[in-house]
Amino acid sequence: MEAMIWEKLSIVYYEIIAFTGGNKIWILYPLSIFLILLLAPKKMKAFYGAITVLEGITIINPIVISILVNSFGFSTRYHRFFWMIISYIAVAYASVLVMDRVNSKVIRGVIVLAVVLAVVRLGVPVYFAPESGKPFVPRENTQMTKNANIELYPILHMDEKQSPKVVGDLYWSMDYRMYDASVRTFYERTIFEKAVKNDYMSFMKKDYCSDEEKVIYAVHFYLDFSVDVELFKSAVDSQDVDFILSTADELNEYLASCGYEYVGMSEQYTIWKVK
Amino acid sequence: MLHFVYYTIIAILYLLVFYLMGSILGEKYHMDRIGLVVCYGFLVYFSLFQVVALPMKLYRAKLSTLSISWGIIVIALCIFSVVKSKKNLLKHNSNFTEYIKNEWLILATAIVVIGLCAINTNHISLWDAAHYIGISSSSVFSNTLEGVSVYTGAVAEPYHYYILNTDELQSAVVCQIFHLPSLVERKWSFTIAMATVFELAIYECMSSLCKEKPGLRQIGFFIANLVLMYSSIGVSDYFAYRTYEGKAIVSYMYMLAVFYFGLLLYESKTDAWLGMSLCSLSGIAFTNSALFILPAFELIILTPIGLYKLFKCEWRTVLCFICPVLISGLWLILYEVI
Repeated sequence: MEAMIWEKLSIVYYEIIAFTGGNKIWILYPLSIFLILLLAPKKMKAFYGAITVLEGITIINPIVISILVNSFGFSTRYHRFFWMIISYIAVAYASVLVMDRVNSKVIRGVIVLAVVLAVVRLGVPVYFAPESGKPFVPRENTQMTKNANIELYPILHMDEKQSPKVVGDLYWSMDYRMYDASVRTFYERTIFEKAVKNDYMSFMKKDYCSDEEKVIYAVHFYLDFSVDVELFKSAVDSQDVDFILSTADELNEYLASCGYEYVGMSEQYTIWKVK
Repeated sequence: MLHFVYYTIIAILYLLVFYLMGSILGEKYHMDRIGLVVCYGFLVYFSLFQVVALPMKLYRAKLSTLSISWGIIVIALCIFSVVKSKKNLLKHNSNFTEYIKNEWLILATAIVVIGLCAINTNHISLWDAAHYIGISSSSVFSNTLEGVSVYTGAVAEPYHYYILNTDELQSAVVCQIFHLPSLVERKWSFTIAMATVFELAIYECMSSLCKEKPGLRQIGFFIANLVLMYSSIGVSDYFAYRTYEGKAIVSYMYMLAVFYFGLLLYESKTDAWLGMSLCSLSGIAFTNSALFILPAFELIILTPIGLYKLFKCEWRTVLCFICPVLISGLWLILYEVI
């Protein structure tokens, strides 16, 4: 029984850690709720009291979490219920309530300073915090995309074809098509994910895609250069490909041996024109 | 540089449309407060768009059909709003300069926060960004309503899992009408508009909590933003890095909106039930998470006060309180049926 209780409580703990990322600023939230319940007017005490109790018996209740995670498949999404915890308003309101109790401007200033120091010392900033692994990336240009994509555009549209088709990895195509949706790309998400999860031989044995698509995967994704050049060229023609992007020197040599034309470079990609 | 002036004008246009749409509602709802007018306007705008766009998406209409229809509706409503609320519009305009002088800390904080959101282009998750922005850019290029694959550009059916979501189509409509690139519309114009609406919602929250104490309101607003910007991960990350994404909008904007309308209800402003209902009606436009998060939060807020009103036999008020949850329930049923 005791082990079951600890197991359930640990689920709550891990969900909270997943949501907060272990950010110590969240210590201020229960403290703020305490101050609000102590100092706020009656209606606000009722409001915050009701929300806190109901959130406590629902979203932070280990039994509820177990049911939702195990029975309703909320495993990766459960922590979204914590969006209901409006911590920044609670901390601000608690600070204001404490300040409202004193008349002296000096003491109010000290309280503000204490709150600011607590927030800055305990919290991790969303921007400009190298430890968070999320760099602040200012815009490079007026198109809000990478300069490399803008450089690539005239190359891919050199023949003035309305929708050229490109073989470039899925991460490139996701990024590029936000900027230029006129370009069609080869890698489709579900099949690409299968290729990522399977080794070469397993992928080739299964029916995830057509034989021609498999040939292109073999050379471009799995970098198998033993594939017959004519077979590869035939597969590329059948898929109506106009350009191929390469990141590997051996792939560049292979594409050159196919007779494709080198037309330029962009960031880490070498661009080959098929037709 | 001129392009960026144009893109910023679109952001201001968003806010103006939200303001005019919010003004259509009677004063008993928005209490003649600019922030609340804009917040209501945002909810009205997306509620109406959801109602207009979803049938067109299900029946595979063209994007141009939706754009023309939506353009006519918005223009008509804005003209109606100007005619109906002329006096109030003039009153808000004349208060504005005094507001800038007295609320400098709020303005400075908001400008810094909005500016950081707009300048940053790191969207953290390429998969999600490719989905949200890709749907818009693909729809504009093909003149369809999600009729091509976001990843390959090949003709495709709309992805059934996201069938009820229409926010990306709203972006496509704006991009088509104003000839904007989707990346710019999302990451600049709409980001500025959303960040501004969110800051206005925080302002209105602090105004309600601080009552007639503008000094405390300013400090409360500043502290709220400071805590938000130091709570790396979770809702803060969504707001800071993915301001325009549907999932993010529900996490920061809708949660705060439901919280704020709940606060008004507990202050005996029972007409705030309309705000909650609009949250339920429009939230699904942004993400499927709205199907469970919004009704859950609404129930947490409405149950105690609803039971109290039931005890006092205020039946009409109780019926009004049921509306938001009922709307969410209807969306859930529709999602299962489609």
